[in-house]
Amino acid sequence: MMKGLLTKEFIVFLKTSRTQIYIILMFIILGIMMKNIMYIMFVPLLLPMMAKQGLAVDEISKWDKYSACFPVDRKKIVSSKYLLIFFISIAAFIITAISIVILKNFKPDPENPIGRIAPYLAAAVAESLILPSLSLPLRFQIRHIKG
Amino acid sequence: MNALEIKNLTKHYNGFTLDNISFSLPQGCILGLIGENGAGKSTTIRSILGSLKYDGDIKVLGKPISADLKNRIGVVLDEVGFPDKLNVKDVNSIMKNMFTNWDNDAFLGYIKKFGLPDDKAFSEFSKGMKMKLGIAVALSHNAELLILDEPTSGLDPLVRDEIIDILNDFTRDDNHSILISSHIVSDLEKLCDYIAFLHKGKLMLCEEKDALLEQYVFINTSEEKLAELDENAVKGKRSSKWGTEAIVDRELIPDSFDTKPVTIEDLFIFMAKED
Repeated sequence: MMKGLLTKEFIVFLKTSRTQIYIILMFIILGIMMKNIMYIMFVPLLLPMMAKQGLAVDEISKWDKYSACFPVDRKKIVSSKYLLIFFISIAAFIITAISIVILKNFKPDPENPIGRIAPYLAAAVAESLILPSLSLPLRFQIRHIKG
Repeated sequence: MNALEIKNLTKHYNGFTLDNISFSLPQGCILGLIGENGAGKSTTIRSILGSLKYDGDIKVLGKPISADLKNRIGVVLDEVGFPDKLNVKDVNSIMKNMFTNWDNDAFLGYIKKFGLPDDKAFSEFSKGMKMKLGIAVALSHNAELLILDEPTSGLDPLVRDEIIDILNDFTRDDNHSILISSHIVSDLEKLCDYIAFLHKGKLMLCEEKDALLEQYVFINTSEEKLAELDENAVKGKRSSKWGTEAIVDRELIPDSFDTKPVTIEDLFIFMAKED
């Protein structure tokens, strides 16, 4: 079932990416402390890329083969990977948006209002969705051939 | 009703063919799939699970395999593939959302019974502990059919015996059936009602275990006397300078021969070597 697959993806993501999550937190804090939005803009780029690590974890643990034991088909397994990246991208967007609002409160910048930053943020989130969407099918294809 | 029905299963690989396999597993019984490494046991099981494309017809609990049907099947493969960082609590959370009929209490009961730590990472588990976790998962969603691929391979005799006891417990319910593959024939001999021999991709025989042990016997004789017997009677032989030991069909030899009982392991080894 999809819910089970997503639970697994989220648990694996949180447990395997702990260090990277701390690094991202550091970027946010640095961005706010140094009053530089560029640090914060790393978040929507890095977080979804980290979600792709789940594929390597599956390969190492042989989850791919083992998942034949469960009531899920390949389509659902592949969909769960895309859904994880989608949810992580949404989370990255929310985290980034909140961080920018906090930063703007720390350092009001009348020349660069939030309205002007919004397209950059949207572009970063779009890129975070587009990159995995292009690379994941290739990755699945390679794994399928190897399998 | 048959829990499992396989008709004319054929699968071609480069250098290997699983050749027109047909057998069935009656409900409430345990069928052991015996064969040397590379005989086709895992290919048969992967075909049953729908992980491979194949020719032939396979019905599981009366239906073609589907993702939904796996709610009624417990599967244990030779390697339990949970990601390294997960622990028992994580596995429980995942499986709760994976199976429609997940039994949380049964799972925790098995974990306690098997003495598995619930906060230790899967990577720190021994091979026996990993297999027990796989079995606990397979037994905790009210499965009617268990499919096990080499569950005892690489485990010490004590753990193997424990696993056999667990499987015996499972079949106390008349609706529960087991298909188990192994090359450790002695394990299957303790457990199974039916035995199927796979050898080089071919099904040599599939019969009731007790009937096999009744039908086949050892005789000690000479090559000359053996040659006089009906050629269908001899299933396998081993010659040495002291004489010839053969496994024969009791029905097809004269009563004058002194016979000794065989084990399934003897029968398997002699038949495989004869081929």
